[in-house]
Amino acid sequence: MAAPESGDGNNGAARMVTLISSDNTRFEVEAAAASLSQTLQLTILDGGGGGGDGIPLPNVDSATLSKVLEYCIKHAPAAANGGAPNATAVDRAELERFDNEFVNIDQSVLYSLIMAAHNLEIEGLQSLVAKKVADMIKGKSPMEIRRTLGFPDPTPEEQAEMNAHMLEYGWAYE
Amino acid sequence: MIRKIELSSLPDDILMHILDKLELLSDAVRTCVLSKRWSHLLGLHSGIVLDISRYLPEVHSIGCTLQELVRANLLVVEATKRILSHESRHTIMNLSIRFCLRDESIDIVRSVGKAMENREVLAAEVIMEQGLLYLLQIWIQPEALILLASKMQKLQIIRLRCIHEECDLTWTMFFLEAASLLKELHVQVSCF
Repeated sequence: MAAPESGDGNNGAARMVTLISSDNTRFEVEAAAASLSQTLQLTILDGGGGGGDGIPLPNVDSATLSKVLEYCIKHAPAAANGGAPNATAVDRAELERFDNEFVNIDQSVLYSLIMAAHNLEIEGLQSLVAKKVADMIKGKSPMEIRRTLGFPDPTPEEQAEMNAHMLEYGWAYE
Repeated sequence: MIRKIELSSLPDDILMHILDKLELLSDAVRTCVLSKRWSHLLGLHSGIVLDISRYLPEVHSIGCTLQELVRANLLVVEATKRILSHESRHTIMNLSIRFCLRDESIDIVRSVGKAMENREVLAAEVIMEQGLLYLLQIWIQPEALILLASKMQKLQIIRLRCIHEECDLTWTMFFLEAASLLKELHVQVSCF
């Protein structure tokens, strides 16, 4: 399989692309990893992002982008195999371990990540972070959810609203 | 440096993605009370799954009393009415309601019928228990079925479970006629 111009990692040196964060930091990364982003995929397929050009990402800061790329680099090989139907149980377990650890981070970082994953259309990452936030909510009372998600204590008005809600939606509090 | 982002500042579609990851609708309901901006999100929920067994003392309990059963069923009826009453045109990807065949359950059929009038429903699972105690051999009213049938044309997947074996053919024919775009039909006869 000869594809010297657009080597995708199957032969010889992998093609690299450059991504530029909102605070002007340049990240050089394998095209296959960056292509996990549906948004970037087309640009990359068109040959963009190579050499000195780089693809500017005005909505993603460098700290978030480095985290996003950490995810993409880890998941790129499996994605290249079409969701890795042939992946061994060990590979899958390793990815799962990585994912669990990956989202074990500060909440504001989680939200930055899900915003970036949304903008860049990285489905797996969106799903992973959404699941993590959902897990923090599960089975909790509104008051506990408030505390977990770092909301300030409710005002008397909000408290009254919460009480009314509990009466109105009794079945959801069983 | 990372810009501080709060959950409440995330756009609706991301919040929806998070709510959709909550397996239980009741978790989503309790979350949406936290912010005025979220209260309309419940109407956008794409998976609506309600199960009577959640409200019974023990799952599939044979030993539960009629009183407990009636109470649990009322909660499902109430939940269905509440959730489906939200003004929304968003597609429901999966609608699954498990309830007991009692008179008051007619409101479930009415709510589902109304929702199907306004919203696209891709897959529906209607699980009707014949009565967890063998006490309640009540068949759903025929007029309710006709009401539902007129709104089912767009349905693509139907799963019928716990259908009494004497009626399985009638029900199958009924759904085949009503849902003209149906791609999948699963039928499981009485599980008792």
